[in-house]
Amino acid sequence: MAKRIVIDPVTRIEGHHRVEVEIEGGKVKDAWSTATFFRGLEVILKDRDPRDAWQITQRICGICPTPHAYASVLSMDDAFGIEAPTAGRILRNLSLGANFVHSHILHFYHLAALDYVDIISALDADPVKTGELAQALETKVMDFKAVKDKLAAFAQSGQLGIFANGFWGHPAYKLSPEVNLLAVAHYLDAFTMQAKASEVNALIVGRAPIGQGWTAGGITTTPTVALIAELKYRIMELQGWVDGTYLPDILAIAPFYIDWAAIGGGYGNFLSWGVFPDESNEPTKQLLPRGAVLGGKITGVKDVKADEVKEFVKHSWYTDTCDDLNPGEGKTEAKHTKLDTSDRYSWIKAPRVNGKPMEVGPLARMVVAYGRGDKVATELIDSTLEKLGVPGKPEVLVSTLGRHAARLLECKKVVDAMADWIEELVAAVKKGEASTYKSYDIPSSASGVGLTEAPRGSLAHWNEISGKKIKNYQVVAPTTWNFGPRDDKDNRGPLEEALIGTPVEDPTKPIEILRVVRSFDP
Amino acid sequence: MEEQLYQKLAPYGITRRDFLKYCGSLAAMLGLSELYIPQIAAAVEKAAARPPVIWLSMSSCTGDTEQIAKSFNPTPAELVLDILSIDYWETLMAPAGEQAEESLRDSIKENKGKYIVCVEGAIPKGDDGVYLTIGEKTGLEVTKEVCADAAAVIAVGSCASFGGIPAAEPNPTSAVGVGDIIGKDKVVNISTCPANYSWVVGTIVSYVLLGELPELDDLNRPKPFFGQTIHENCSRRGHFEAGEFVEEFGSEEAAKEYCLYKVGCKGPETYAACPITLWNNKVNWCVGAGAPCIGCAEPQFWDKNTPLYDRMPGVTLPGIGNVSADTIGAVLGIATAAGLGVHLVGQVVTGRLGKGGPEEGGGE
Repeated sequence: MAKRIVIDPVTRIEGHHRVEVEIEGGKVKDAWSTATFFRGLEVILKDRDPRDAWQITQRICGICPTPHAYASVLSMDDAFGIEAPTAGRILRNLSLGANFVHSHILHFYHLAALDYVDIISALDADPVKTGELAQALETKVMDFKAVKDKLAAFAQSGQLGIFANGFWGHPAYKLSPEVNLLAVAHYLDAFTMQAKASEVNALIVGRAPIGQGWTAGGITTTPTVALIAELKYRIMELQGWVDGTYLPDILAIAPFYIDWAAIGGGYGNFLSWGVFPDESNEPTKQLLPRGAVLGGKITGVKDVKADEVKEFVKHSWYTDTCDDLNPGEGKTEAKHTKLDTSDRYSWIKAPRVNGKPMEVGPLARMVVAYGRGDKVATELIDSTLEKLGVPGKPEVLVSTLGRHAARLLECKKVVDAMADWIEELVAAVKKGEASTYKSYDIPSSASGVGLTEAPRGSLAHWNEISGKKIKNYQVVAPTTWNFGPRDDKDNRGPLEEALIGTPVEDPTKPIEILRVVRSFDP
Repeated sequence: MEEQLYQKLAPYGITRRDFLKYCGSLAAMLGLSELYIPQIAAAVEKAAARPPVIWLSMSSCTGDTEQIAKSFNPTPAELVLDILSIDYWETLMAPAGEQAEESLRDSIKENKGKYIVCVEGAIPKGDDGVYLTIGEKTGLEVTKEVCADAAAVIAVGSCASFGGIPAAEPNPTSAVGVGDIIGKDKVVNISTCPANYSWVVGTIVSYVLLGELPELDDLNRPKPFFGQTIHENCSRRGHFEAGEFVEEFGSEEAAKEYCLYKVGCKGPETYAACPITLWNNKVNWCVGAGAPCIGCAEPQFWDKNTPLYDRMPGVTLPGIGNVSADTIGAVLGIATAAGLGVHLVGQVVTGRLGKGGPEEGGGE
């Protein structure tokens, strides 16, 4: 007998979400993804000064305000017919890079890890053995006894706070007490490191989250020697932590959960607008290049354009006039009806590329980079597959585990590139190219598109300007792609498809479903 | 005699000296003098059980939680494990779905009348609240239910304080701040976008340790953090007074860190301690990055302060026009107003400041 279960709220995400699944024979047979939250920022943007757009759109996502600022200024640069000067482009890359590193650390350790790490089991760990284990794994050694004592005192207090009512002791947890203690220690340490990455961003744009230094034409910050030194030191520290903690941690935990390399794959359709341009500003020459992959054919990367996108609302709470439109002409007219999974059930529209649902995020970007023959991505992926005992099989990446591995490898690629960008910035300043800003006039009528990537996936902003005001503004964000509902042909969204076949041992404690959901970084 | 807290901490390598240092950093955070340290130490020792906190996420971007996660001294780990018992916090809590809602019900039941509620995000009231649901209830219902038995309610950020971005014209979801739901006098507002972690932690700690909230202004914002304008404490104020202004980002004047008033800075009419507290482990703030203050601490700033990069409309500074005596007092301080006014009039006469007006705003 099929049984329906609902998870609402889905926690450890940005925003509010609900997931409903139908379980039959211990596996997910069907799934529905519901965004339970609408603010109407696209409506609020109308008739405003175009320069206010990058301030307003940053407030779409407090974990990823930086890419929203970036997509917005790119769309305005496009509309105004300007390009940021070299130092402006590099500082934009560094600000966004810092947001990536911060977000990836936060996602793995603070949003996802508790699905794999049993914090209560860590109380049974031998701290000395944990230390030996950390040394053997070449990951960060901490005072594990102090962490265990702290945890024990916390547990004895009877006030478990955010850790109360977790699925502790669930048979799906596979780590030994020592590995759990190691991971808990790094969970605590990672708080400091994601904050450190945010300091890099704050140094450039004033604060994080929500940086005021973003502007069309470049960035407001001046690349002083003091700023460059402050950035360089912190980036080196982050590189050391990614190499010496995040990387070995994932490699240590992954073998216990190798089953998850065959669960939660989904369509295998991947989109990346690409991000971090070099001096050529070519979409395919970005640090993470633009491209699309269909049906898991990693070697067959295709070119992709913004005008191939359309959004559908048959199953979303919008009027039918919003249906079947490219976001360049997109409309946002809310119309709520009762939640009904056979009819309308989400505040998110269903975006498609030439009718296809596309997964976005670090996995999509690393797959596209791999398929495009990017040297660093290829080396990182191939060496990781070898370490996990599946050499030459990049297709295993299309899975729950693969998403976490890809996020880690991308984090390494980005933080290493940030160190290079510091050198690039120094070279530009030495040549006298320290200006970060190109001035502009707001045209009386124009339109623009900004295509980039947020840590969690592809992000695009479309604007139309009339009478020097915003006439229309549309955003297609990563969660729109990954967590959108079915489209007009009733094809499932990427998360809905990825959930099919997921085993669920105990429907009252559906940890397996949450693992798939959170692997996308919603 | 009961064992002192620092004696209990001794096995963890924490000395009496460390403990007092910690109390000193709390005092500094609260804007209190060192004379309060013994009082704080006594209060910390008394507060054996960690105070329960329920963190509600409403129509928000999660930016306020993100800001708290950047906290230093105390770190988020210390907040969660040592200082507070955050029983419900969607963004970081272990359970989901039914088990998460159980955590919420348990905390309300066990701590009736004793828990602190932090609300992040506006509350959409339109169409009976359908624009936000959590666990089959609307955000509106959850807010009313949870706040009903709270000891204190803190609105964290602009949206929870005054409606923020969802409430900007035309306010598609009829979003409002928490005060509009449960009574304005019942809420403390930490109203910047996002809320600075030091001010949120400072307000909670003040309540927990001293048994009372900090003194509030007429918008229910803690005076230690919202008592003065950005302009009063701005590191670039000297340039303002010298008539040295940035006209365009990326310019020589921008590199010299001149005043940002002409490219839209709303610092003169914005009350917040940003220039003193700073952000992200004190590394920077908006003006420090060469970006004008957009006035995110003030009610309805998305409608009143826009276009954000235009010079303040109807600005009330001496020598520039539309002068209001009240505002001069608030902005410049009575003592300096007269001299500065003459100085600025001099700038206008010599043509260095220009006559002003929104159409001359920067960024173009």
